[in-house]
Amino acid sequence: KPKTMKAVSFLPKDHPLCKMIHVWVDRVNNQCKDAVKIDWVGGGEVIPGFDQAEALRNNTVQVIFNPTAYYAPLAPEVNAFTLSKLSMAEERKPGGFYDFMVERHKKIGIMYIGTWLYDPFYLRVNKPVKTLEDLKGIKMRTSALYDRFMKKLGMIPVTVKFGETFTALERGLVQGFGFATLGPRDWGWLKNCKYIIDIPFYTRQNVLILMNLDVWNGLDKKVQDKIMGITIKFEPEMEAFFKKQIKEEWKKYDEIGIKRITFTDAENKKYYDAAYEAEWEDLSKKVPDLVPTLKKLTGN
Amino acid sequence: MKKLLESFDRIMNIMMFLAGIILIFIMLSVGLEVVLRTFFNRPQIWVTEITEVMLLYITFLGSAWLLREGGHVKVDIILNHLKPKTIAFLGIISSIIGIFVSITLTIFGFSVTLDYLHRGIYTPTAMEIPVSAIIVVIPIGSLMLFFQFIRRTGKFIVGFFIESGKLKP
Amino acid sequence: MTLVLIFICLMFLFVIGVPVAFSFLFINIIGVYVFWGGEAGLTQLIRSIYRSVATFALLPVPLFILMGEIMFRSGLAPKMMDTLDKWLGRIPGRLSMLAIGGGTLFSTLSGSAMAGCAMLGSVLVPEMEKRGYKKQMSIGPILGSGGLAIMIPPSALGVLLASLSRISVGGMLVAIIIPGIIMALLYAAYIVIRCLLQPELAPSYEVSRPSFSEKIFLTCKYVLPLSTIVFLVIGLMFLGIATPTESAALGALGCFVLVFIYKGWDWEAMTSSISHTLKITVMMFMIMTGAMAFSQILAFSGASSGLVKLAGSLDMHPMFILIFMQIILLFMGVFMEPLTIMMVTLPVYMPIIKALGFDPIWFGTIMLINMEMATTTPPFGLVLFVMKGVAPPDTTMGDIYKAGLPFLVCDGIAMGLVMAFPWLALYLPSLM
Ligand code: NA
Ligand code: NA
Repeated sequence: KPKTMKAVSFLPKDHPLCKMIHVWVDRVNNQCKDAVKIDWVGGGEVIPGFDQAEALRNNTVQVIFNPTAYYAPLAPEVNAFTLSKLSMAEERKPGGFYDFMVERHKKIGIMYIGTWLYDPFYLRVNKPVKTLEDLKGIKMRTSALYDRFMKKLGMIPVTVKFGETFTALERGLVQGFGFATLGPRDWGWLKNCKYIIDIPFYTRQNVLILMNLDVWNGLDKKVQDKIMGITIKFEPEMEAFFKKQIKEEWKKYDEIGIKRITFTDAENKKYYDAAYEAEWEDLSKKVPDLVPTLKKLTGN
Repeated sequence: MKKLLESFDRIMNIMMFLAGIILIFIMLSVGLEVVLRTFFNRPQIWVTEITEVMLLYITFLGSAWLLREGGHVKVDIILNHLKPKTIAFLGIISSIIGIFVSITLTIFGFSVTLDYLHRGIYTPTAMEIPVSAIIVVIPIGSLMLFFQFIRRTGKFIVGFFIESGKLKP
Repeated sequence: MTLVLIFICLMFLFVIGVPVAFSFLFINIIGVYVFWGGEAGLTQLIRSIYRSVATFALLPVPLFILMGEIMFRSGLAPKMMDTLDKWLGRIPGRLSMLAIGGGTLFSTLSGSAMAGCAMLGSVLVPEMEKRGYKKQMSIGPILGSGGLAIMIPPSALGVLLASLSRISVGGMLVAIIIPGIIMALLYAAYIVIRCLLQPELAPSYEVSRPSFSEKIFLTCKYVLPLSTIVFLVIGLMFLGIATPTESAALGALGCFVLVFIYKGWDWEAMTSSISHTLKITVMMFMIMTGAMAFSQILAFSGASSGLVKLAGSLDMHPMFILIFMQIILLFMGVFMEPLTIMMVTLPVYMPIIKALGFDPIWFGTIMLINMEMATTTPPFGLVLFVMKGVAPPDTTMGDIYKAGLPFLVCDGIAMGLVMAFPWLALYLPSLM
């Protein structure tokens, strides 16, 4: 009789960014039919995103699809995911970033299995900017993920809840926001925010497939290997899928007249580096001992 | 005993006073944030997060006080048609349920608070507020509720015996 | 099955008089213990209590209530009524119309029905008694228009409904404006017609005719400044200078400033309005502490998705399902109070509404009218009891029930109109 595992995601089940989770869940359920049955009960309406890692540790649910930023207080080093400049396959080399993060997650009672999304981040603004200097003083919507980077650029982060963002943008309460490629157009956020700074940062998404450690340890070695095999095969397919989606999204951007902005080469680099420096500085404050290892393992 | 009850009442009044201060604080800080953001280009990141937490504080600081004042809404449509003795009896039952709820929230509230404190967990937001400082108000408020529910049980027991004629009013 | 069991338990707790908030918490404790793995589930429950209340979307609730309380207790709202009184000539059911007009005006300043009803009752009832108004025409209009506070922004209940169903608070607050005005017009129309048919219900009397300049003076003094409050609440939100939450804070601040300008520093009014605000807020928020876990338990047990499937498989026009849902709400409104009803039904209703393809804001508007009715449907309704408190001593609950009935019919008509013409609710949000 297969062991039923309850799973929750931080986004609603039918959210476009969750498309590949369905694929992963189906594969595990089909290929490990006798051992595991993952029952994906829903998103934040079942357990709020911020509490999903705690619920996982407590074995209230057994699998979560959650961004590391949401449980970083448990282990600040997980914020290094976004900073990785390696491919997921490279990270999985023995003794590499994957192995390191598995160990770190074990310390908080969680098994890190894999990643379910690929989509780089961009900042968008509602007026043309020519230099980095122009970014100073622009009010940006944040939900606390990029405010360190924004502050470094001299921008002003304003906390606006997800549900109020559309109104805030439309009414000029904020003049821009940061987000991945997919999503903002569907939510109408681009209606008044037609300039995208075409310098992708944090290209490695930090949304992971995580399992309760005891539950994982309770599985047969064979089943563990099977799940891992499925995931290793899944990750590049997932990346290819989203790359194709993103390409189509950019076509739609052109259709609705989204303007791409870049600066001089020197400024582009300064912008890109600022994104990473802001996070490294924060990590140096919270886990100074780990930073050298993390830098080495993430290709920084 | 009387002194104990008096100081207990005083604590509830103080908690309620704090809740009032918090209400005013919320109004002022949110208003100030709009002004600073609109006219001075200086949004205050802390306002949203702090005022959210304050809502939880208001609720649990005021809950025991509200129970004393009989302000927790209940569906008394059937209750109003019953004999005083039955009402007193149901009052005992409902107070015991209240005791069960509040003691559960107290115990698990404290255990969650201590756990967060011990692990040093903070909110994954810009402010990085210690979660224990937020959650601690739940067990504190629940403990006060627990005492108030005990008092309420006692009141209904006395009422029940008076109505059964076993006790003189 | 689980669903039925949960509802039976909940109803049982309600009936034996366990306060609503603790009934939900009790069910939650049992529920999380069963579905979330024993003690670990209980620690999860503590987190869910924290998340249910500590949310930005609820922030307007205490502020909206505070606005009404401070306007009422400072005596500013009665002054506003006086001014309105000067403008009305000899119309049928004069004082009843004054109740509707004043109620509507006060609705733009108050977010809770109770303050509205208490204010109108204490100002108008003695005057109505003196003029020989029958109960239908004195108590009825006050009951009717007291509830308008819910339907015209600011509206604490509107915020709670939006928050419980995860829809835009701003959108919800703007959507209810037109339906709220329609309700006020229906009330007024009813009064005029009834008083023309039965003049003895509201005997006409000689009204003093204040000079035009006096009327203008009083209006400038007591009514126009109030429009700044309306602007702070609705205007800023509409213009996008502030979020709904922020405009609530500015509105409350504005009320304090106004009271200070007119009355100076009134310590007594200040403390009593804060303490009454806390009473209502804590009562509502304690119920909300159970909100998240309750809907999660329903989702976790598969009960919600089961009902959604059932509603989808029913071979019925979606509109019938919607009407059926409203009838259930009406029935619950007879013996329960709005927030409780919303807590019980929304976790189940909203997924169905989304699955049927209805606009959630439109549905929310219809439901809010229904909830407004619940505050005045006999035998249980908070506003009814407030009314009993301010009505003349010889008034029985039966008198109050009878007086409120025609206005409930008006509400029903308004609800039907919004159902038939969704743009009544959706036009204004589309402009935002
Ligand atoms: Na009404
Ligand atoms: Na109102």
